[in-house]
Amino acid sequence: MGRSILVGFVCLLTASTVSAQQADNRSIIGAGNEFLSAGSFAIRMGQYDEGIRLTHLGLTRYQPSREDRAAAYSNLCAAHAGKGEADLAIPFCDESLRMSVRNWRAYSNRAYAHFLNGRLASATSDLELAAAINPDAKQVLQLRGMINEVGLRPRVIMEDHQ
Amino acid sequence: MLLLAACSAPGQAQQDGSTDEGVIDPRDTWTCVLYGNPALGDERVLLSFAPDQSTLMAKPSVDEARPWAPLSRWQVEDEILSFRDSRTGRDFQANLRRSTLGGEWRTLNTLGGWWCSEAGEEVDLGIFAAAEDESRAMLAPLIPAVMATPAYPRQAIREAVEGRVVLCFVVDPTGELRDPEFVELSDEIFRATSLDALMSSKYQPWLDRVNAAPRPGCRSFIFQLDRIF
Repeated sequence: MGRSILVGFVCLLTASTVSAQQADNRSIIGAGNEFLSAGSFAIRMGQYDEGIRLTHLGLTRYQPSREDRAAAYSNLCAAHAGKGEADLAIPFCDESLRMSVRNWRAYSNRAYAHFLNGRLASATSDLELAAAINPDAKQVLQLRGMINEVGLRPRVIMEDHQ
Repeated sequence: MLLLAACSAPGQAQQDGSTDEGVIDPRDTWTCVLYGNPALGDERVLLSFAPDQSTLMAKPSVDEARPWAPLSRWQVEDEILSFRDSRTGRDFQANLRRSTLGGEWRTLNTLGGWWCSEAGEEVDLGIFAAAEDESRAMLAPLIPAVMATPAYPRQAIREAVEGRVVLCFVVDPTGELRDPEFVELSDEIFRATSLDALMSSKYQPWLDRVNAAPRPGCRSFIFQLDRIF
């Protein structure tokens, strides 16, 4: 998988939380939890291991809110997916979605993890859930293109009319 | 109703069916192909547009005893020829500014195309009285020598865009294609690849045949995506 694709999906990380009925579009700006915000930044920069370490610190040393924990788990999911560890990533996305069902980034991250595992139907299903919450998200459109490239077989039928 | 206002008077049409102004005079008998009907496939018919605006269609394989069926009266408005086949519900249209007579047909739920070449003087209203006369009415088909397949644009795959392109063109006796024209283009994304493929194609030459005039042809490209998961 090319680096450009990974960079695109690292952008998924800056998720935060929501009130129950709103899409989650906030980033963690950790006035109270610098570890989570530093972890998010590190993951966004492609430093996945450091990002994972900092995020775990943020989750254990402080008592983040439910919303921040949901975002942090989504970030861990994205970081592991960015490392190509799809099987490690998916449980974090599951946990994030258990806490915040409207977290479109977690759906999108899990879709990417499924895509890495070749489970295109599951990836599409999660991507549709993400798109239902935030249809214009660049990450959603980008991942849909990647799934289509792998999962659609092109065919051209030619007919002469004479 | 305007009747062929932009066309020349009957009998003044040039040999290739067009006028000096580049507007086709339809008043003649034409060998035509109707395509796009999923049930019938390509239909080879004769169309006759009479000066009194009556329109006749002959389909050799259907009824040899009464080959000519009347259609609606043809009319021309803003250089668009139109007529209707009430039996099949098809509304035909043709832009007479094009290089060959032809265009599209529509029903309520189907869209197709048609194009024609001049049938020649040997065609008359009784041409299908005997089955063996059919060969006189229909030109021998063009035989492809090279048929290039268009590449499916990557961006179209990413965006899951399917579509259909119909290009009409002229084939020289050498088999080379020229004057391509888009009759249908469902999405701009398919323009370049369709045109590239068409112009890379070639037909078998027919220099040794009696009829050495260039001939029109059309080719459709249907771009489809099959989900494999």
